[in-house]
Amino acid sequence: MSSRGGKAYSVRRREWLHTVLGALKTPRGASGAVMTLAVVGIAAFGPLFAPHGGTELLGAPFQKPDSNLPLGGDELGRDVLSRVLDGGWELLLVAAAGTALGIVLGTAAGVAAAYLRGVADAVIMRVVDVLLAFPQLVFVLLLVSVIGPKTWLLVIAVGLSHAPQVARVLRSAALDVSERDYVKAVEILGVRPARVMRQEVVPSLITPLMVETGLRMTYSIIVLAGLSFVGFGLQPPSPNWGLMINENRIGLTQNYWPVLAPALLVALLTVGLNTLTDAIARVALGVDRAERVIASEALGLEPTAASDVA
Amino acid sequence: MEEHEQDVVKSNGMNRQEFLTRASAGVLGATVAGGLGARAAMAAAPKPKKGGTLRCGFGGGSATDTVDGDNVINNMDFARTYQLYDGLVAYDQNAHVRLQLAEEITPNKDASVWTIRVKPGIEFHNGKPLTADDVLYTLRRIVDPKKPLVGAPTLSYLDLKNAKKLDKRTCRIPCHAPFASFVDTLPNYTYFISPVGFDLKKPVGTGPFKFQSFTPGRQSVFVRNENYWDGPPYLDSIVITDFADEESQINALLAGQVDVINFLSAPSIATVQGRSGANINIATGASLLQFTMRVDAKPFNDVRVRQAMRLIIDREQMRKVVFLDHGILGNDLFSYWDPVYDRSLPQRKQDIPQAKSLLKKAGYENLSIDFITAPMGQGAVQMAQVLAQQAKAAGVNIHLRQLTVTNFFGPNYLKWVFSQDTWQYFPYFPMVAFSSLKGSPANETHFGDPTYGKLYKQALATVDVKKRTELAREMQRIDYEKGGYIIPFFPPTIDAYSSKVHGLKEGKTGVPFNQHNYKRVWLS
Amino acid sequence: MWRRVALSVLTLFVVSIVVFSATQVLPGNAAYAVLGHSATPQAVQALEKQMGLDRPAVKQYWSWFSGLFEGHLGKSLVNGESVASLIGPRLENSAFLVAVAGLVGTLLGVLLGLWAALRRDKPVDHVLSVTLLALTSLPEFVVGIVLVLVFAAVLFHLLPAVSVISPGQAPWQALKLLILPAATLVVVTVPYLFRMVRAATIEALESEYVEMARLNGLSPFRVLVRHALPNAIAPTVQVIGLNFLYLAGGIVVVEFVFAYPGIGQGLVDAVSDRDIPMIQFSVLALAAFYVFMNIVTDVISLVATPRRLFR
Repeated sequence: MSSRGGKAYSVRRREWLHTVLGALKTPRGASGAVMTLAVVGIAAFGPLFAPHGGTELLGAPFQKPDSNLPLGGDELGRDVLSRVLDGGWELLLVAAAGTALGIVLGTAAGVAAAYLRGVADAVIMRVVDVLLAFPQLVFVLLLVSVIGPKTWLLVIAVGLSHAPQVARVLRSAALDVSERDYVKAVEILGVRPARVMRQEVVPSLITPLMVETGLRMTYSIIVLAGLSFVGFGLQPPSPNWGLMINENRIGLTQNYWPVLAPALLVALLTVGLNTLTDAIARVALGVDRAERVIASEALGLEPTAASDVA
Repeated sequence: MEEHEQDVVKSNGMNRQEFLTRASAGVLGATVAGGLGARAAMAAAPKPKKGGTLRCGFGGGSATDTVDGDNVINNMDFARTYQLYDGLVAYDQNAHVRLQLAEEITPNKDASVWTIRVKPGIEFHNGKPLTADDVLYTLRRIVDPKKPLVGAPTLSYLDLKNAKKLDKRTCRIPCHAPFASFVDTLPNYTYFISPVGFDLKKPVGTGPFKFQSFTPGRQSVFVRNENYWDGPPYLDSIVITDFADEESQINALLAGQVDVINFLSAPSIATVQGRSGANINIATGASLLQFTMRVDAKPFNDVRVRQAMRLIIDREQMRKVVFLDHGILGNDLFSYWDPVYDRSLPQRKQDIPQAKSLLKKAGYENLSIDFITAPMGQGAVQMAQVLAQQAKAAGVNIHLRQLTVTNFFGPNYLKWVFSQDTWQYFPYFPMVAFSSLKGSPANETHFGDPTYGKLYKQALATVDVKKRTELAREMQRIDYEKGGYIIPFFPPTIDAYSSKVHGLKEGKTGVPFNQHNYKRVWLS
Repeated sequence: MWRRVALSVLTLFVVSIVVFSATQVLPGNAAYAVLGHSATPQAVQALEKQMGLDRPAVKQYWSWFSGLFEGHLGKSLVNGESVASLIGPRLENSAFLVAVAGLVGTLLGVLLGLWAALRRDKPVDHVLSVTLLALTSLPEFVVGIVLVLVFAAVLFHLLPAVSVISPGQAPWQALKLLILPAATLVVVTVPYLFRMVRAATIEALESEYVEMARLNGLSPFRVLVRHALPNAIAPTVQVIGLNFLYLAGGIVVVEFVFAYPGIGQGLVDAVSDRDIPMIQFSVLALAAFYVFMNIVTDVISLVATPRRLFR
């Protein structure tokens, strides 16, 4: 029994790796990965290549591109190119941290609810319902606008806004998994619920987790950019793409680069992530089921409800 | 100086003829020609037409909007209150104080008793004539201890309990202490005259337009007052709509949905000027957007640090980058248009070596400090960013923290150590009363120099204008050497309007369109 | 089903407490917002007293809550107008915008999804899928700004750049003002619906039941309408319902960009002003909408699920 269990485990363990590699071989996966990596690369290594400091006052406000400022000047005459190169890592880091927090919290809550059933399940899901009753942006706004746009608060706010949805998705996936034979087998052996969850259920959730992470990361970036837009996001003068889009809107007709460049990068990143996530889901679930799962998760629908009809 | 005194003592009022003469002289002086529309209007000089609705798209408003002329809070309230009401005195286009509803405002020998007489034949929108009762009612309403309105603190010198009506148009008000700056305090934007029995739901004033409707945070509508004492306006009505966002304002103007917009940022000048049918007005106003340093907190309790900070700023560069060279260079003194303003003090310039040496002597060689900023006015946050950048040259590391405007004016307002603030234009003595004395209601810098306070008290008891100016000069020397404000420049007020609007002017107080003066505005 | 309703009411109650506590914990209150620049300590104290903000938190909550049962929703703290009169028009405006965007989006999403499903894997399908995927990745305000630049302010001047509805004017009287904000919302939400409809239709088309019908010689059209579609309806209805929910959340930014006087904009202002009665009511309105839509979609999908498919 143990050797069979062991073999099943190791197959499952590498299952996600196979999924990812398989996805990268598809045109969607490859293009998505390329786009994502390109932008992440610019964000991570950009500061090393910036020709000027991001806060230096070098030119006239909104001046057109010239030899010194290849993308022209922003609202205070700072070098747009340097600010774009400097402006990705903080946004990505905060988005990633918030997403990670949301995933961790949501997974813990969702898996616990699925596995523990009964009262624990009911309580957790009620809390999830309450949190989901707030539109995401409004929820973050409520927290951030009042305590102030501190970075740690942004991370927490974004994470908390993702957690309920992640909990829902992971709960259904976990319910699905816990019905599978190998988990029941381990249960019969008398292993403690926590251990079962950790060693059997969670690894099988990696694929839905990956899909969820991709989706959530995209929304984190959009939410953070949107927050900067309404004035509550990451703070000046440090360059960051979301803020740049907002603070340079006013000079759009004079020099569109300070808005266009970060907007393109944000768009490229989100499209790339979405495409990559798409590819992974397709490989894991088959093309059509993947479509429905992604579409429904994107909107907050409980996946099991959708698959009930099939 | 003499002229100022004379206006206080006697006046034949500003009738329509005078106004028009002043107005046309003002067009050439104060408005910076921007766009073809303005030039064409001056060249062709078409004749004013009666009729039409002026649609205003203004920022600065919110759900806290009001139409109460004695309780003006936000920048947008000005637009409304200037249509409905008049004050005893008003700013003219040069930011000088002139009589408006008052015929005479005179002090006794030591400015401890004031006599006010209002002009004859002025009626409120409901037909009731303006009398001294209304003046006393308004003043009492403002300082009512049970429900003090916004402007109460600066009228605290008035002893309204013992104020008396002398005849139908005259009243006499004693003061708790000499109050020579009373007239300078009166054009405050929140001392409009309301009638006895004022009802906020159906507000009535003596202004050029009458109240029709008001939805806070959204829109207000005013219609022509045919009976206006200074001659009825040309416009049939004015509609003022709240806009949250400069970009929406500009889009609305360019798309023809509104006729006038206000409080634009410098980059928008090029955006608007690039389009036919829309024009820019730039007022070289003297509203304040100053940096504040608390003189009672480290490191600014050492006057050398304050002086160093004032020398670190490259005022010209900041003005160039934030306001595209518009606005007047400042010298850390306020009330630029007040006749007492001391223009003889040398203009400060950036001096990094001196700044560094001062910091070193004070023991703050590599100073690291927080600065609180908020988008409280156009250019505020940008100024903060430029400050942080310029300070690096002197080894000072400024860490910016940006708050929302609501949070900024929250419980910690007036407690920030290193920050900014914004003020409408006030003449010198009222500004001092608001901001720079021990116990002032809005003393961001916690300034409380005893010599300064003594000079102020003296000035308030000095009726002679020449002597009072001397005292003001002494006080300004203290502001200049030891004050907690850094005033790098007086920001411009940038407004825009459609080419079919004529007669718009800009004043020097920084309130858009010459204190929202639409009395002689007409539409083609 | 009634259990669901009861639970939902409980949820709303909890939401109101959470919102209230949040506003209590946060620094500042409506008095500061009202006074703005004139917020000197004495002025604040006086105003707090007038607003009743100096009472203990529980008392404040209770007076608001009990007021509900008597039919008053309270008064806005910052301008004294009744919450009902302030929120009513805003709710109307937002509801109408959501309805228009939802309807147009639904129609577009369903039609495009069906089309793509029928032309599966052909160029049309690929082009649609990729374009919509790209569009959905963009932040709403970017879409909104681009639309304004193209149609109102820079390229063409066909449509109004700002959607400011005068107070007293009903949104359906100013349809032109709604086009761009609705278009922005549609652009952002159609892709989800498209994918769902496409996937559900494809899956239904390939199900055994439909295979059988086709093998039996039924025309493709009949197969689609009578056999494939019914199975696709339930999940699609749920997605449509959730589309509306997503719209309800998405209006905040869109209303901001277009200066549209709806409840999203009202909520941002209310939070900024710490206007507790307004915040409470706006959030509750939104939450109630969510809960309501949830129930409605559940019911519809239950009803629409063809039972015969289940063994």
